[in-house]
Amino acid sequence: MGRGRAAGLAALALAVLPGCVSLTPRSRTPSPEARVVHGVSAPVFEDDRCGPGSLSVVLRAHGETVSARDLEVLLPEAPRRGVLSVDMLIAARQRGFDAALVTGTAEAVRGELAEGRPAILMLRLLDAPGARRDIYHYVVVDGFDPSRGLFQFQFGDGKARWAQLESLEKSWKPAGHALLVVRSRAGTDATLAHAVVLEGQGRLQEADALYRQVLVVRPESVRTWVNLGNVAADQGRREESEGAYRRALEIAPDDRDALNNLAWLLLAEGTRFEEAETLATRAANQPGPDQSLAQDTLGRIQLARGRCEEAVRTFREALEAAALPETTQVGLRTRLERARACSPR
Amino acid sequence: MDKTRARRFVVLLSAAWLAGVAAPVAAERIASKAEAPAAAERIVAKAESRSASRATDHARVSDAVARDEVAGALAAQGLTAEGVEERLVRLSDEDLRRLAANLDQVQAAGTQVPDYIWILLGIFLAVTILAVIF
Repeated sequence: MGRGRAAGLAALALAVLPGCVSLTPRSRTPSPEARVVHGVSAPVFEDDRCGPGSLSVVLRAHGETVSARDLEVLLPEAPRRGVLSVDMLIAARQRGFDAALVTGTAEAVRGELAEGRPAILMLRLLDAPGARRDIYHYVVVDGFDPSRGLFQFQFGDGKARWAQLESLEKSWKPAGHALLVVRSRAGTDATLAHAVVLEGQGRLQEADALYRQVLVVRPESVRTWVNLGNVAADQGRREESEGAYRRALEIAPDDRDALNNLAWLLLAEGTRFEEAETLATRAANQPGPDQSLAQDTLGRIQLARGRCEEAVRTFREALEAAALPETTQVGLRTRLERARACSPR
Repeated sequence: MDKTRARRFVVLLSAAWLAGVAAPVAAERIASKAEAPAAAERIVAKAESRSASRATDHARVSDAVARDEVAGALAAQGLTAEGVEERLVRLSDEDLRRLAANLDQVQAAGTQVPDYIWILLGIFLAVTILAVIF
């Protein structure tokens, strides 16, 4: 081989290989401010079973006593080897956790770590020639150094590595920035309850942020969508509020709170009375707590549309409910009187 | 207060009252609530039961498209039709939307880098060193 050809081959190798193979990042020294999630030790994923290995590390950090071997039942090997990302998601839920596979960002990873929750990243280690031959790997991120912008990664070889997230970008991007977040259900319940308290105190932005956190792992939570709609409405973000209520109704078409509050929003807007009445009628026809509030909304819509007799009937029915708060009773009586006095259109 | 002013006050008051009747005043909204702890199970169960009947729910076009795209990505991983369906029924609509928006995330991870890659890497490195030396 001539020197020129050899040099050409070498140049080609240097150009192509680094683009195909991603090696583990060189670990850097963290600052004293670095914090690691409690309960995570430098694990070794046996036989490169990084799926069960990484998930067991994360679940153990949540206090769950589970080994990688225990999880293998829930994480079958995919036909072309390895464990599917969706199987990781499903397995976390089957173990009783809230989980989501999201498109990750440094901010999202920091957010999880700040709450003491390790997360799992999927990386592409090898861009092999040919279809479906790429090699992917799960790593756990379990520490953050705010001072130096470093994260601690567990690749499963028993060594913890501190590195910047950007150093993994070449591997993370081809995996769609896949980030598996896992949270305890009790933790999510507590976040939701805390958000409701904050909302009640008028700390709407904080409540809004927490509701969005809940929706990451419970995207089908009707309650959270309704609450988010309420906060958006209180902040004057009408379109966003409407979108949140409509999302709640997509998930649960008969949810009274979503029906009533969307009707309420449309009534306040003052242009879409017909739809508002349809929604409010459906809400008011459901027995149970808050029925009188839905009847109140319906009565007001009927009144606004000049249908005074119907409004009188609706307000009367609302007043028949047992154990109404005094303020609600006073309001309903006032509106009943107005309905009695109004002239039909 | 003379009679004229008193009459004007009554008229304004009546007008305000009538405006209150006719105008679309805001009703009382149902306040935000926190879910009971058991609700999480209900959500998962509901998502699963809805997913099971999702096949017949083609009215929701966007969900159906997302479902098909994710199904295609799972099949490309070598899963059988049953294997694909088994996964789909366990994913919520929102999961499917998220995955359909980023199909690169539908992968299997955990296979070892084949030996031939390391051999190739070694050969290329050897050639590079030789090229530099000679």
